[in-house]
Formats: sequence, structure tokens, C-alpha cells
Amino acid sequence: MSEPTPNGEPAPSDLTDAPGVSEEERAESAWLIARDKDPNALPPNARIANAYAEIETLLGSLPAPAEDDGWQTEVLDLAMRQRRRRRGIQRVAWVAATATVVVCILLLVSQPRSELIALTKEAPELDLALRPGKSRRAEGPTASVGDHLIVKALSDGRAELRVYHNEQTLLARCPAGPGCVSVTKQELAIDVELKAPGTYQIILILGLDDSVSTDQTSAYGAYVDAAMAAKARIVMHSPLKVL
Amino acid sequence: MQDDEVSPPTDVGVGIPVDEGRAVDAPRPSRSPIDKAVEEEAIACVRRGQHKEALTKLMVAYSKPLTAFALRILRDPDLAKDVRQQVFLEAFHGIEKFAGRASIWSWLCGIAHNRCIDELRRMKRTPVDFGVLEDLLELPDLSMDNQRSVARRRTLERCLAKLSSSERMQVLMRLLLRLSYAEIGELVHDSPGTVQVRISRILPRLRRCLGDPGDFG
Repeated sequence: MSEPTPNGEPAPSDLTDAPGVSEEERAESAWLIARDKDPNALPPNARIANAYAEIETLLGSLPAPAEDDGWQTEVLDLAMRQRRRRRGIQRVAWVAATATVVVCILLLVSQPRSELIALTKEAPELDLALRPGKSRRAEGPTASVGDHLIVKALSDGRAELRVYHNEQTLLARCPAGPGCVSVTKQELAIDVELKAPGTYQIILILGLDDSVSTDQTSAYGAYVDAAMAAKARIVMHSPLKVL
Repeated sequence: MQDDEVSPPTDVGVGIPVDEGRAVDAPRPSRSPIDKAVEEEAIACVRRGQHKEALTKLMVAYSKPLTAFALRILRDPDLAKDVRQQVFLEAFHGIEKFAGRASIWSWLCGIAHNRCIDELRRMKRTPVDFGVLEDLLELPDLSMDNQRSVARRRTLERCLAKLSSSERMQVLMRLLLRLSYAEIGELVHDSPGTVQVRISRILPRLRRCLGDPGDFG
């Protein structure tokens, strides 16, 4: 069975089914195959042997078209131009790939890390973490200007969480103050940006009553004194230094 | 009349067993165009970074049979020369990667075969007038050859034209390019034994045509 053409068209008629394929032709074909292995294989007859000698001579020396002058030089010139073009393309591709890698690295460096950096837990009631700012990547638990301080504190329903800067400025207060992001019966949470160098104080008061000043302008020291006088429970974290 | 589109090989036929071992072992026809010395020099040039010199050596040694092959397949001298150019351009760009798994000649023949196939598929052609083809060939000087020899060559060209593209290709790869059945089989995606039997069925038709042009069916 003949195979279909590469483009799917029906094959030409098969020689074996064509009229005129005789035993003589089969014998001739068989001799052609036999002599591939044994050049001395006997041909069907001398006429056929001579005919194939001529065929092989003619086919083996088929002439080519007249050669145009300089075709080899043209091929060489074209080959060199193609090579230079390919090398140029490869060079451009390499530069583009390198530039892409550099841009990706820069983008990664400039992107703020989404992960939080947990600070050492000093009290069970307080969890502190840093969220690195856009301008720099924080190295471990070291805080930098631009970082965000995230504080979560356990609440007894009468708690207040505060963050001070340099013991003077109240930056965040929870509940009901700047930087407060979450208030539940069990937890208070603050998120505040560390905008300036200095020392940041984190304090949690539990068992808050009216005798403790709720004035938002009171400085850190006065606030702590009031809490101590009211015998409220005070939970502090080591001051956070920001350079 | 056989069409000139790329057509499949004819069936190998009943009654002739395919002997793969015999076909694989069958040597190349004698008087192969392979020039081992040229190929070794070309590879040496490539190793020294002298690609232009390598290509020049190959063009000088191998361009004529490859162009003659392409001309009989495409039946257009300009297309044959285009194929010739493509073959040597590909050789120039690919020779560094050529692992020497076969001769450079076989490799070039494979490129020529594939480029001819590409051309055949690209064009829809009607058969070329045989006379036009012959006028553009380097026929021997009539003073040195006799009338009968010239007439035989012309008849052979006509008989080749009556084969399908695929048949012509395989016969010429065997008897002009002197490739082995295994090399031909690799190019036409057939076993060496099948190629051998197929060519053995085509040649008698060619012989009958050559002997008596009026008899060719």
C-alpha cells in the first residue's frame, strides 16, 4: 500500500498493480538488489547489464547548470553578513536579558517586604513586630525610620495601649486614639509609622479606671505615675531605638 | 504523466523480499563524490577559526553534484542555484556543531534534499520543457563527444522527468550523490531495505525509457 502524500493527497498508482509488471522485470529488480552485495551477480542478460552500466555512467555524471562567476564570493559575503547579524542579535538579546534581570532585582529591592519582623517577646501580653518601610529593608529586628511598629496587646476589657516617642510625644493610643487599628474585648492593636529617629516607648495598662489620666497630651512619665498611683497593672516593653 | 508535486514513494512491490540486513550492508555505489581529504581540511580550518576557507573548500569540491541534483528535482536552474546557496550557507553556520557523525558530504546531501522538498512544497509548478532545461546545462563539447552520447543524455533527462519527484530524488541520491540506502532511508523516513527495493523497481522503468522512449508507461 502506498503511503499518502505529505499534503494528504492520494498517492500515484502503485507500480505493482500497474499493467506490465512482469516476471522479467521482477527478475531484473532482484538482480539489481543482489549485485549490491555481490557485484559479480549474474544479470538476466548481457543487454540489461550493458544498459545499467550506461545508466550509472550517465546518472553519475549529470551536468550542472553553467556556473555564474563569483557565486562563491556571494555566498561567502552573505554568510559573513548573516553571522554578524546573528551575533548582533545575540548581543542585543544578552543585553536585554541582563537588563531585565537587573530591573527585576531593583524592583525586588525597592518593594517593601510584606512579611513582619517579630521582635523579642518580653511579656506575654505584648506582641511587637516591625513592617519594613519602602525605603530600606530592615535588617532583622533593628528598626529604621520609615518602618511601621505593629503592637498587639491582650486586653481585660479595661486596657489601654500607648506608644510614645522620646517619652514626650504620644504617637498612638488604643482604644480611641491615633494609630489604633483593632479593638476587641480581648485585644488591642496599634500600627504606627516610625517617622523619626529616637526612642519609642510601648506601654500597656490593664485594669484602667477613671483615676488614670486619659488625657492624650500627657507625657509618658506622667502617664506611668498616674497608672502606678492607681495601682493599675503596667506592662512595658524595652524602649525601641530607631536610628 | 507524473505530476511534479512531492509525491510518495511507490510501493516496493510483491515478490521481492525486503532484506534490511543486506540493504544496510550494501556499500555506496562506486566513484562516490566524497573527498575525504577535503573534508578533513575543512574541519581543520573550522578548528582554526577559518570558516570562510572551510566553506570555500566544500563549495569547490561539492557544489556541482549538489546543484545537478537540485536541478533535476526542481527543474529550474535559478531554484537549483538558490538551493545550492542555502546548502552552503547552512553548512557555514552549522559546521561548528557538526559532530562528525557522518561525512560532511552526507550532511550536505541531507540539507540539499530538505531544501528541495521545501521548494517543491512551496511552488505549484507545471513540468518544465525538457529542451529549456538542457539548454542551460554544461553539455560536453560536441567535438569531443559523439552525437549518440548527446542524444542519450537528452533522452535520460526526459526519462528522469517522467518519474515522480520522490522517485527521481531517491534514484539520484543513490546514483548521482552516491548515498547509501541507510542514508537515503534516514532522509525519506524509510528503512534501508524498503529504499533498496523501491529503487530496484524504478530503475527498470528508467532503463526501458532510455532504451526506447516510445515504450515508457
